[in-house]
Amino acid sequence: MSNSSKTRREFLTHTAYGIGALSLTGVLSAGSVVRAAAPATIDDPLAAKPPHFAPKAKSVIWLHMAGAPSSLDLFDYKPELVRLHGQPLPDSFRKNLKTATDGGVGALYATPRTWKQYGETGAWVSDWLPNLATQVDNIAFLKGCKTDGSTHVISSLKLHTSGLVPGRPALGSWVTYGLGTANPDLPTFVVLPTGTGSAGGGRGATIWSSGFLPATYAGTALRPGDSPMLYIDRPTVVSAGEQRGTLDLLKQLNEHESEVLHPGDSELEARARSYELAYRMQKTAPEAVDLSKETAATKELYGIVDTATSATREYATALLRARRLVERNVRFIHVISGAPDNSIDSWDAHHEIEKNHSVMCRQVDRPIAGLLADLKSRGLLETTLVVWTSEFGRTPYGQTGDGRDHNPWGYTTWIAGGGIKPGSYGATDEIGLRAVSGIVDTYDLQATILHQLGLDHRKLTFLYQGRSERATTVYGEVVKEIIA
Amino acid sequence: MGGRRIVRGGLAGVLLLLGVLAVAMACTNIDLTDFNDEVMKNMDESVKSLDSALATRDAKSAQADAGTIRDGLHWAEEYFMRKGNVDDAVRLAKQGEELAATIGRSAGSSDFDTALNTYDALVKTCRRCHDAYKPPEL
Repeated sequence: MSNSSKTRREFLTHTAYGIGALSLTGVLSAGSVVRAAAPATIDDPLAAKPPHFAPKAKSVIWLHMAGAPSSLDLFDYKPELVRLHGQPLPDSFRKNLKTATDGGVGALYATPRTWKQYGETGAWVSDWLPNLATQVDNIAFLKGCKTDGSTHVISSLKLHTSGLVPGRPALGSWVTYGLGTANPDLPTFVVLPTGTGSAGGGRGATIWSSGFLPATYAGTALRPGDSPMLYIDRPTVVSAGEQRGTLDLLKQLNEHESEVLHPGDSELEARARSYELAYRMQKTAPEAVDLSKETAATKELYGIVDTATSATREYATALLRARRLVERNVRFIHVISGAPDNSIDSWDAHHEIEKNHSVMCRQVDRPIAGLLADLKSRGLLETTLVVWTSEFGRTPYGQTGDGRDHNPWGYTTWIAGGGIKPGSYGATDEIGLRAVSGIVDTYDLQATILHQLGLDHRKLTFLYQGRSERATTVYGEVVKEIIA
Repeated sequence: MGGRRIVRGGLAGVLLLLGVLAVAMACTNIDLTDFNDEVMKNMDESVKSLDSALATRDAKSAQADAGTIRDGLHWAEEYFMRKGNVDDAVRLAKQGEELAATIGRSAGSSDFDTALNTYDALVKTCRRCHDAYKPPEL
């Protein structure tokens, strides 16, 4: 790229900010390297495209529990672990056990949970999630999940992009690429980070990047709080006509550059489109995320209360926004759970798991239960996949006396709605260390989500640097056992 | 309710689970420290390359990749035979070799439908073995 075009890009960028156009940094950043990529259609890469087969689901709400909660203390009841509490990990479980973090392998550790079976499915849920427990008959628990990596960054990348290093597209980007938009006035792939701490952004924009796909397919991150989008309003000194005229000029310049000087430059095309999307969003987006029209009963259902210090307020706000985005046909909403305050960092309970999970569970329990109930009552759960997932689980052996280490070998993910059959599928071993049946890798989870959206993960391909790439790399099997 | 059907699989399900448990427990008792990871990395790369070659109908590349995979699986078969008591791994490796050979032949005769279907079977075979024997990458 020439220096002159860089300068021009900078000029256009600053001009856009200057006129108050919405900055869709999520669309444009994310570290995308898309030199060799060509959009699906030059005219409109976001045009709606037919699925491979009839879909069961229209939207996905991806509940990313960043930092990794302990399945063993929430969904995967292990009486044997309780019985063996305080004893060393038996030799039969140690073979080929690679531990990569510093804590080593402590004694087996059971937290003082009380467990109960709920609903017709009889799913076990601990006392840490009393509200979610009332929703188990809507949920398919995948109890034999496993992944690779044992660090947050690597496993988060694998969960979201099927790669162990940055550069691959997020699942939401593949969905956007495969289906296009169902609402041209809103982003198709929205990210809602919440909370504080290092996990508040879920390990950064690489997990919602479009990777080698054109940049227009990247996730658009909204800010938590009462102002999710900055610069949404047109400055008072700029008239509507002036703004439209400026954008028309920008569009002409960008089209010229795109068609004549840099054909196939998807970053430029994405930027040009972002201006138009931002313009349309000035009218549609504020209403889409404005909760003032929601009833008090709905807010109560999610756990949104007036006090700013409420443990559930921010997360509940994000989930209620997610429901409103689903109503407006946004296809993929990635909600990231950070910590509600500075007392902890995230779900990453290497120590003081009792304190950590008490805080984190209190934050998400009621909002998620409220979301499921709300979607169901509005008839939206049938066509919306709600996915609880994390980069891995936590070990049955203790760490630092009162915490748990990372566990990529066996943990629980769950899916509700969108044509998924409630129940439990798969299992870990007697102490919850390794998945032993119904094994579901992250590739399989992605293949299943795509399948419910009407996309065959083997046919959704993109040619990048001469190689035909797909969302699940070469792996991935649809978990047919959980499909209704 | 549908969920109950999942949870209560009956005797057959229990027996299947016990079988899977037995395989899984067996896998954790094998010392894999002398396993040549480079062979597996080469195969992993070749499987990805083969996927693309078949999608783009590149017969020459597909044949080359299938050959690399077949040779790697032959090495794995012999490795597990030397280990002993891992008949399942030997069987899966041998099965994979045969599938890779079929893919190579099919691609060579431009029968890409057969090659693609066989490729799916090959990846599933890889997966069965990895689920049972491969420690996760850390």
